[in-house]
Amino acid sequence: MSVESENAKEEINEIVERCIRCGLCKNLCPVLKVMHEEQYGPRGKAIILDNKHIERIVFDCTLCKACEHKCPYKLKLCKAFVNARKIIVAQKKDPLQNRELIRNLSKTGNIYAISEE
Amino acid sequence: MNKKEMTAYNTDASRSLGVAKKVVFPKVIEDVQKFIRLPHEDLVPRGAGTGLVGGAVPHNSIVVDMTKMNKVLNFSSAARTVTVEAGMTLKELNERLNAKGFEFPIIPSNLSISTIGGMIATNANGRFSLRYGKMKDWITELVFVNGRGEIVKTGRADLTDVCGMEGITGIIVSATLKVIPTMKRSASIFQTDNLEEIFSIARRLKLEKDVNMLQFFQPNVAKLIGLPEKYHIIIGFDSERGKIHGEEYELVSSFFERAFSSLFSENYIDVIDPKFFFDKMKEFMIFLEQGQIPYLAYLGQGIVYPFFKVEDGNKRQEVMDFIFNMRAKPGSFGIGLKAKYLLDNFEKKVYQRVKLRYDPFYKINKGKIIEADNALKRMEQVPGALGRIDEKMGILKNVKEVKEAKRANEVYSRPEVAVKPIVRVKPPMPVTSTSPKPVTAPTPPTSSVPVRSSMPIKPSISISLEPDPVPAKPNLDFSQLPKPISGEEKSTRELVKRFEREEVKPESLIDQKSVQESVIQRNVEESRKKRMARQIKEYDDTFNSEFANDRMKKIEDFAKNVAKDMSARRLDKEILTKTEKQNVVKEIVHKKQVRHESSVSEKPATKPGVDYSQIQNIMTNTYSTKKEPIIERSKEIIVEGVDKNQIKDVSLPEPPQQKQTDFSTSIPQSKRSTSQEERNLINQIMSNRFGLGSESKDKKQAKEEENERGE
Repeated sequence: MSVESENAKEEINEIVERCIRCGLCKNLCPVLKVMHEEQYGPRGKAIILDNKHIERIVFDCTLCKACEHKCPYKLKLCKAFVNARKIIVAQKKDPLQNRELIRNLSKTGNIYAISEE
Repeated sequence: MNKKEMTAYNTDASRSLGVAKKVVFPKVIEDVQKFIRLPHEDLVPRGAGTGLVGGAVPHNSIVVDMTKMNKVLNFSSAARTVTVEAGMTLKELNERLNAKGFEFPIIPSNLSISTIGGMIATNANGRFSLRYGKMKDWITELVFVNGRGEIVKTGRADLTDVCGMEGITGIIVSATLKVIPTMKRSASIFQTDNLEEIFSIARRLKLEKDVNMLQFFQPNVAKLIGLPEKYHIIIGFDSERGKIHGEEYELVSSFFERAFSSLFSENYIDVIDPKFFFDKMKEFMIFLEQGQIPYLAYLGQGIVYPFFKVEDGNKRQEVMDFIFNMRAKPGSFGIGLKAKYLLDNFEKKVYQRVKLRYDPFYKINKGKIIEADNALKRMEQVPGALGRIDEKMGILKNVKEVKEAKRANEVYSRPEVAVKPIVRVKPPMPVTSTSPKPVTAPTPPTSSVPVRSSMPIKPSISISLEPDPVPAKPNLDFSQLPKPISGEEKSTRELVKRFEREEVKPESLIDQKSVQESVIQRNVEESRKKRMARQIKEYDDTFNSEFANDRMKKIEDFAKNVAKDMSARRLDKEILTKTEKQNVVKEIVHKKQVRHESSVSEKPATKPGVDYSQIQNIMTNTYSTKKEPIIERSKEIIVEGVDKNQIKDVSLPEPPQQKQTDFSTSIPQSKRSTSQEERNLINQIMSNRFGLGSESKDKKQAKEEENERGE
């Protein structure tokens, strides 16, 4: 494991171990409004990261920071999710759609691969 | 979903850990029924998972997540009711209702995240419950699924079986709620330094019509919110009598939830909700202030919320002892896993009995409200459950033990079956020159005495001997009996050895145990034979039905092999003509029939110069258990070029003649049409649709084509 991924893991643990599972963050998450499943919400992801499983479900977040607004501890969950994404990319387990987006960006400066014509 | 992603369902807002085996998302009522009817250990329904008592914590069980059932089924502004499925959150409901000018006024203190199913199950309190009451007063109809898998619809009479039971009796699916039009509300605040003034004011205001809210804040807690360090009461009015209106009112109404979250942020995580009478709240508050424990209170209902840190184990124990001595009751959170100390023994029995009515197999929510040990004990005493209690056998826990005990019981308690009678053998006759007389069976008694093996058997009873109908045993020849015992050593060992060799037991050696054992062995053997017969029947049925194609091939191959053997042995590998082959096969087939008709013990009809031994072996191996004539099927395949009329021994079943069915008779007489045209129409329709009757579709089309060509 490289040094960057170890640092990322420590940052995740600092943030996520303070969660008390109160559930006040669930009302405003836009992903939960569509999916209606616990693991897509901020509380579920925090529990998964607290148990030291770094899964690909961390990519299903819009990083809107609505959950931070209501959290009693004002935990910075978006930071934790971004660090988890770093670890996954280092292990080369990120989803294929992300790689396509990056490739399109480098080619055409555009996510959808639409040229200027 | 991975196993690792399933760890998100292990906990609750109460932070108690469990293990989730599987997670399930039903969308329709029939899905819920399916999951209840499966054989499994435990089911835990779950809404939003924000209960503070551990009601949604699984314990090696299947989690049923109801948040996908969140539709509004019906809304009528005239009757002022809403029917909603169980997974809908309060916030969404209130948003939709406010657009039409209505509201649902029961709002618990958690920012409206909770689902309606959860609120019904825990009989939730709200902000305005001084005036509006609890959840039970706002339900008109309920639909839930039993522990047995039945859909039940209740009115207001049977609500207590579900509302307040926290999911013990079944899973809630939908409910109809009452709704009121929106109201303009106002509030006012009162500050003092004295506790007694607060109680005198609250006592007066509690009786008025307009008041719907009495919230109490401590000086320590008021500091966290932003108010000065004094005792505060926030009084809510349903009219415009108060001094705070509009936007400020919304601020003030959010104080209570802010207090909760601010205390959470200061690491005061554990909350309890005991409920007192109005006059006893004072003692409790004084007790808490001595211990420097922060608390909040709803003065109108009598609920006090003390907060603890995780490290304060001693303080929490003292407070719980105080509560138990004051005989407090559970407040708004419910009981679940963590608040069992608030129940009496009487109330526990009441919960158990309600549960047995709806969920006798203990499938839903094991360990909540009622302890798991009591659950297992009850499971064994209920008929139809996994285990059973019998006074003779003691407590059993498995299905295997029950079955074994049943088998053992069957042997010992069978009053109907007459035990096979005991042999009373005469002492052996001395060998003389004269021929021995044939021994006949003595006459049986007039009444057959059915003897139970449990009763003591007296040797004085003389019962007749009946030979067993088993052909394999040889008849006893009394001429071959041994010589009588001389007056030499009569030690039991020699006697036993002698009789064991010759298999004859006189009266002196008969004991109760041996008789019982023989009886038991016979019964066991009979059961085994029945089992074998049953297995053979099943094998035959399967062989007949499923493998019919292979069977025909086997018959073909067998016949060809037989023909080859016959030809090779008898005629020294000469080539037979077709007719000669057929004649050979005919003879075999004919003899098979003859042999089947005769009994087994008789010798089969033989022809000189033919080895029938090998054929018999082959036949018995393939067709040993059947008694049907094989000729019918063999005829159709083996016999080629032979007219069926030549073979007169066997009668073939005639092919079924298709009759013209008159479908008008199936119609009842009153509606029957008398005209023949309509009857013909009906017959045509039925025959066209299903191909029934004398004419099928193809034939009809052929006829039509012919008619067209003819025209």
